[in-house]
Order: sequence, then C-alpha cells, then structure tokens
Amino acid sequence: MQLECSEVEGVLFIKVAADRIDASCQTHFKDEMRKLTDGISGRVVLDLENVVFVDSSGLGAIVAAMKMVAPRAKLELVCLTPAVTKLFGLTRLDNVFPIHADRSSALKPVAKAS
Amino acid sequence: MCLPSYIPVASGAACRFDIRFSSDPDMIRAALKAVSAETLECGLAPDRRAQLELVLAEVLNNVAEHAYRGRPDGCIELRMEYGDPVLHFSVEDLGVPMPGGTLPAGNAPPTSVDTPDMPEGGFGWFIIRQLVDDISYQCHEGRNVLRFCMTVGTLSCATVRRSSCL
Repeated sequence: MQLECSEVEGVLFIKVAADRIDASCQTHFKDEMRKLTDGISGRVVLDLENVVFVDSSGLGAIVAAMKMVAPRAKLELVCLTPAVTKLFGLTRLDNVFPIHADRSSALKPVAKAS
Repeated sequence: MCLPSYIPVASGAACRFDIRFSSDPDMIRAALKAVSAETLECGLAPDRRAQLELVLAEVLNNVAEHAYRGRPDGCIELRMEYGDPVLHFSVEDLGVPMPGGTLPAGNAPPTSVDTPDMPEGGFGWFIIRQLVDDISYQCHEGRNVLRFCMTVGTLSCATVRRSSCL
C-alpha cells in the first residue's frame, strides 16, 4: 500500500493511494503509518479520498494509527467517500476522529473536533 | 490456487448465484468482486452494494481467520439467492466451529474511552449484525453454515451465466 506524504502549513497530510484498507493490507498500512509519523508532533491528516472500502480490520488499523501518534500528535481524517463516512457513523468512530470534508477546511485555523 | 468459480442461475422471479473458493485473502477479495459485479448487474443500489460487500468481507474474513485459523487452503462456499424483495445468503465452511456453537453477540465496541483504551478490533460482528436483517448459524457434521438476508427491494435478475475455472 502506498501512502503519499505532504506538508501544508505545518500540517502533515498522508494520502492513501490504494482504494481499500482491509484485512489483506492493514498490517502494511500500520507499518507505513508508523514509519511516516515517527517522532511527528502536531496535526496528522489522513486523506481517504481514494478509499472506497474499509472493513473492520481497516478500521482497527486506523484506530491503531491514531493511538500510535498520540499524545504527540492528533490523527484527523479528510475526504471520506460515502461508504467510509457511513462506516464511521455506524461504529461511532465519527465522534472519535476530527473529520474534515476537504483539505481546505482541514487547514482552517480552528480545526473543529467533532 | 483455486480461482472463484460461479454459476448464476436465473429462473422466473428468483435467481441464484453459487461461488466456491479457498480461504486465501486474494481469493476472498476475488469472490467479493464477483458478488459485487453480479449485484451491479442485478441493479442493486450502490449504498446497499457497499453494505453487502462489507458484510461479506467481515463474514469471509472471519471464516479465514477463525474457522480456518489463517490457513489459505480451506474451502468456502457462498450462495446468494434472490426472492423479491430479499437477498438470502449462506456461507459454508469446514473449519473450526464458532466458540460455544453460537454467533458472537456483536455488541458495539466502546468508543467513549481514552485514546490508549480505544478498541482496535471487535467491530466485525457489530457491523454484520447492524447491516443484515436476519442471521443464524449452525454447525452440522463438521460443516459450519451461516445464513443471513438483506431486504433490497425489487431487482432485475435477468442474467444467466455459467462460468467455472479449476
């Protein structure tokens, strides 16, 4: 699984290049996230624009990534596709992660934690 | 490696789709794609297709991880049967039975907890139970049979196709 990193205004964006985060790639996803966020502090925004499918393993991997960067950094999410939005709602994880509609709203001075 | 083989059959208002594959993660992915292609052709709404794919992924991953303990060579049989307005599914395997011979309760994992205590697992059965209308499990003579259904409205099951490999 490929993750693309970029830094904008001090915020680290990590874009998932794959269309799925599921049982077959969740370990790789966690390993890559660990490498990319090692020693990072501040805001880390995971861009899920390409991701049309997340299963419970993928969900667990995203939670693991959040725990991995805490308390130095906070993991936020941006550009969720409809199916992924529904999954976060269903599991109430939409109350756990700050979720932004798009990158420009993610960059607004006061990032709202939902 | 066993590729998915499938034999969709249409007869009158009902249609049936059988697929047999191994418990290899790539094969499970291929099976999910095959079901997704079939339900697309039947005109299942996109949000329901996404939910179905998620439910099937959870069910099949459970079979691979728990019933077959991660072995990639276990046999899985999936049947989808449509009778207006319900899609019925059965998933059969020859692996280890469910603990206690019953389905997990599927309670919602707690998310109102401190970050270090956030659950990284336990979402699977909760997701399944939230998205299916009815679900049952039995183990009979070494065969695990999981059945569930989803109310989906009227579909067009006009396809008659036959395909098999290996």
